Amino acid sequence: MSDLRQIHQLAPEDVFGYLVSRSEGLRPYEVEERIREVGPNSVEVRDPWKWPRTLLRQFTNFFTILLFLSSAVCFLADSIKPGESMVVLGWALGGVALLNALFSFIQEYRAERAMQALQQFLPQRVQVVRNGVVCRILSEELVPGDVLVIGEGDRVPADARLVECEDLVANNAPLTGESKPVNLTECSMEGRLIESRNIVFAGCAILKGQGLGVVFATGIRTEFGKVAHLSQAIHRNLSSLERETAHMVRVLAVIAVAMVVAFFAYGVVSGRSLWVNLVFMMGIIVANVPEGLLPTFTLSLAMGSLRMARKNVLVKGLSAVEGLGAVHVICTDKTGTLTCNELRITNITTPDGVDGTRDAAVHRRLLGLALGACSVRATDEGFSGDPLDVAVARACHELEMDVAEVRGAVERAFAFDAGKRRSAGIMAWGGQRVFVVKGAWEALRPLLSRVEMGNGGRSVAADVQVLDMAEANMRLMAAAGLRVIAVAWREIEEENEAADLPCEVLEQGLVLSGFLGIEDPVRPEAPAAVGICSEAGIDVIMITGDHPDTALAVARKCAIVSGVDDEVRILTGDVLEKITERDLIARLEGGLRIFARTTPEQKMKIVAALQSMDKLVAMTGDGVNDAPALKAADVGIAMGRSGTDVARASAQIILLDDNFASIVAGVAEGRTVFANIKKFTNYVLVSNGPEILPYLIYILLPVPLALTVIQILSIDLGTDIIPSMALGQEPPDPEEMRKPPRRREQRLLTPALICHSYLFLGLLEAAWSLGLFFLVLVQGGWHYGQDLAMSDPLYRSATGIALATILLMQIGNLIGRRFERRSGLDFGVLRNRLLLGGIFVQILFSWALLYTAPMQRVLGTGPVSWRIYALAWVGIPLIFGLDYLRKRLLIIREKH
Amino acid sequence: MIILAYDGSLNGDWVSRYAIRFAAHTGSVLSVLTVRDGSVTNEQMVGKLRRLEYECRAMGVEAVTDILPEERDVCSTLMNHIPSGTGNIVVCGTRVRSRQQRFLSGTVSEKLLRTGLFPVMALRVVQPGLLGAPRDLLLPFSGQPGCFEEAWTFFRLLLPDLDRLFLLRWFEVSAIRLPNLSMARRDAMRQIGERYLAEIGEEIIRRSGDSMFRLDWRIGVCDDWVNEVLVQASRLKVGMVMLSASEGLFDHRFLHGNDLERLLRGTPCDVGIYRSL
Repeated sequence: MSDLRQIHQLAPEDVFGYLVSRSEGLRPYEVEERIREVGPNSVEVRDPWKWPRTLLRQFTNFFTILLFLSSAVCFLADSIKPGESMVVLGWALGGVALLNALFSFIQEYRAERAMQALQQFLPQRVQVVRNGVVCRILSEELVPGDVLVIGEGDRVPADARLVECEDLVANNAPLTGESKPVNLTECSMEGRLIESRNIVFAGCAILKGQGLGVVFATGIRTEFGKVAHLSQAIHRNLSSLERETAHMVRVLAVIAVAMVVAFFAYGVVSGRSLWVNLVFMMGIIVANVPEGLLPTFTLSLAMGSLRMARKNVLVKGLSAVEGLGAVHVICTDKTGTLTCNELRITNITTPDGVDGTRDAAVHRRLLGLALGACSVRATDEGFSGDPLDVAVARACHELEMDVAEVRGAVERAFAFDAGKRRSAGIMAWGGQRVFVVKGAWEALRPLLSRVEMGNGGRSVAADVQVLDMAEANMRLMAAAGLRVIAVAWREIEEENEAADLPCEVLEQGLVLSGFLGIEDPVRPEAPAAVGICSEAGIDVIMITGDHPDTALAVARKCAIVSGVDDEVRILTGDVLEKITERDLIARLEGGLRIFARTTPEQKMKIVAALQSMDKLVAMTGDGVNDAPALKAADVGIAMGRSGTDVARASAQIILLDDNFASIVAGVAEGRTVFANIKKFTNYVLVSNGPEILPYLIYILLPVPLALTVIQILSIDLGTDIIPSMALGQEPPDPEEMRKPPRRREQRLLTPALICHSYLFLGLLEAAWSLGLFFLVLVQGGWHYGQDLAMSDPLYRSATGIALATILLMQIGNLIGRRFERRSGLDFGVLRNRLLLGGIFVQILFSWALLYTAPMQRVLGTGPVSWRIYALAWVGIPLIFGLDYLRKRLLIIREKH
Repeated sequence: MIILAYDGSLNGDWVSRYAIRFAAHTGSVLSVLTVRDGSVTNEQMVGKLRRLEYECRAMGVEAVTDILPEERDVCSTLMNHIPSGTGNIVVCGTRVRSRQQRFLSGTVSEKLLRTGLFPVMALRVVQPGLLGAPRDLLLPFSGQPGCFEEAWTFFRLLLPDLDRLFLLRWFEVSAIRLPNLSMARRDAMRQIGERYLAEIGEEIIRRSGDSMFRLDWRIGVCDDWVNEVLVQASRLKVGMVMLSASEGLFDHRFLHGNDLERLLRGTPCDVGIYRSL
């Protein structure tokens, strides 16, 4: 049996036969047949129903359904008894529901930009051989079997197997994240297809050369297409806030529906008129639905996102504001996020282990020699060139060496050779002409004949013992997380040797001068930020493509690992590839914190494992291939500076300064936002009590309705909005980042919060407002069982004072909601201007609705005596005082 | 015996690679049945069959080709010549119909799948570069009893080339219920899935003997199982998805359409739809 298995393992001449193609290209009928079979070469998943489905989903929200239901009830009521402004109310409620749904839809629609960014990686037109002729066609028309002509500067439109290749070099960064050029070949290869050098992959760029390839995968079947497919097909998990909101809405809907059904049935059985029953039904729904809550959520999140932007955290989707505060794990890149993304020489060591940084002569000599093997230019903004060469030049500059003079002494340069892993140059140094080489130790070791000891004045023969000693010193530096570069040289004695001889000859018989230890230093703020995460119960996991030693060293410096049992805390990409997801979960539970030598696509596996552990995951990324992981994570964070457009389009959060500390600042802000949302939810639900109770009394007893639907809406969509926003603006509590992240199951709407809102404060507001309502009625001559028209001045005054009392008592409620245990009456009250504004609005509104004609007309209210109005004011200290008493009792109970 | 229902189309050529490998792996004869229905000229068909025989020889497979005259229609002609029972496995390809909209509905392959007279695998090949040898396979299960027994008939054909096998057990809940699903309920589903797949995993390892492949599994709770399978296929970069075709899968769903068609249309890799007796 043949052992040939896949396209990359075939000999170039066999490729055409297996793909049913030929060197002169496909014929038109073959193209037609293939395009029918596999479709156009497009990475976009076309789903005509996607947006209609998304729009429809917005209307399946319980709140929206309830609002539409109450709107329908209004229209029904208007048809039974016209002229009661019910139709206006119906339109208003329907409008609120529609706006809520459309707003959510627009947000979701705007978030789907990843596709546009991905499309930019594919060319519009490509050159192919068809029917023996080279022609340009639309990239979309490409099919498997097409013979693709590729050359320098091209973007590859589909995955193709090379059959002809002339110095082809590709940049596979969109797929691998590695920007190192890849030399391509047409020869057959073993191993995995994705790693084959005889394949050009869609989305990648051709840097050099030209060639011919036979297309074997198009559209979403290409490796790039799979990334694109995932970016479109993965549905982001609902954020914890969305989940909590859904739960809250469900609970409130159940309460509303249960009340409606029970009391409607009672009304029918007890012989109440249909009109009374309909008014009751509508009132209960409106009273139970906190109409202003969802818009206030949005406003609060929007304000949170503005605060985050000031901390370099740009939020694309509002739910991510709170989502970031809820995360249990932050999976972060190393380079640029935890580190400065700037190479620096931090260690200089002679071959025998002498610290060169303490000896200025050794320091200058090694750096000067290394600079001779660099390709670096001085620009207005500093040095430019390879980051390593720039680091050498910068170190020379810091030593006050004249970089231009040293570079001017270089008469011939040999650029870095990726295969040899070294660069070289010929320069004048210390009155001699020298050939200098800098590169990987493994690459230089076989070329050495002597090794300098101490300060470079004495050299010894490079026998095995001496070389092993030098290697041991090099390894010590590498173990400290440094990237080590060896520097060697030899004197050029003959005048024209340098000009004539190739590098291979020149680089024999070298003298090892020493080692440069290079690192990308940890950002100064990173260890403290990791410390804050640790205090806040958030695990930090580092994912890097770097060597495990480097990763471990950085993780230690950042305090991600402590130095104890470090070997169980690190896993390399090749092991990650082999282990199952269950094994990975076990290792993560065992304290795994560092992933080294990983590829971007392995991030998806890490996210999936963490999510299987019920963790909310924030994931950073910058490359095209990071897009699926950014989408799959609960919070995807793209790098603003170094990130690609695709990563930015796939993430919910963009980190403007690429700094890990900014993520942590964002977490703190997110937690504050949630704490504040909890405060104003509590605040808003309190007013539901005095809104519901009048309707229950109205259906059970022969008494007038204390609060009309329009009055309820004036609270929910009017006066409660600014105070709610004020609570949403409360400053962060330092304690927030000392608490562990809340559990996934922890609710926004808890039984305790419902009891506190409805049965304690709500009942208190209801009792006081209804008390004043009946006081006004009784003082005005009303007797039990007497029916009053809505236009009756007595009824208007009574209902006016009920509404005014609720508004004023909401002030006491507002101040009390600022803290769970503290009174709320501290200096902060005066600093929160929105809070003062909210209090002012409540006072003004409570006065205006009683004593100004336009408000009386709109709300159907009337004036009361100043004594009664003063009694309404008593409600403020009453609710505040009783609530404070409750807090004190709770503190005492907690202490015991 | 492996029986290839070959129509001379491009997809037929790509599907034949699978059939040849299945025959090579099981050491059986490959019977190639072709119905002369006029869609391909005789010369073309002879040329294609010659190429197929050449590839069979290269793989050490004995091929027997039959060009059958069309009787009532292609399907009945094939059914008259395919012996019933579990002894043979029929391999056929899906064919695109009506502007990329349908791959299986109304095709000969669908009729063969629904006969229930012999084990059938209908293949949609979108990655001809795999040459019929996917190294990574995704086996999704809906959790119905006997799923694995049915899968094994076909899975063993792919076993020798396999590097990685992923099992997927999905739980489908409605789009309205999904966001409201409690963590406890999700955990319970996950545990059921874990137990189910652990049993299948053990059985696969037991039956696979000394085959060297890595086995992993995932449990998905979703509101759209087709999307879940497609996402996992892209995520795991598998070469093939192999799925059992229960009778219900051939039904049409409002808004979503036919699930199998959606899967075949949107697949990032080759798909094998199988049905045993």
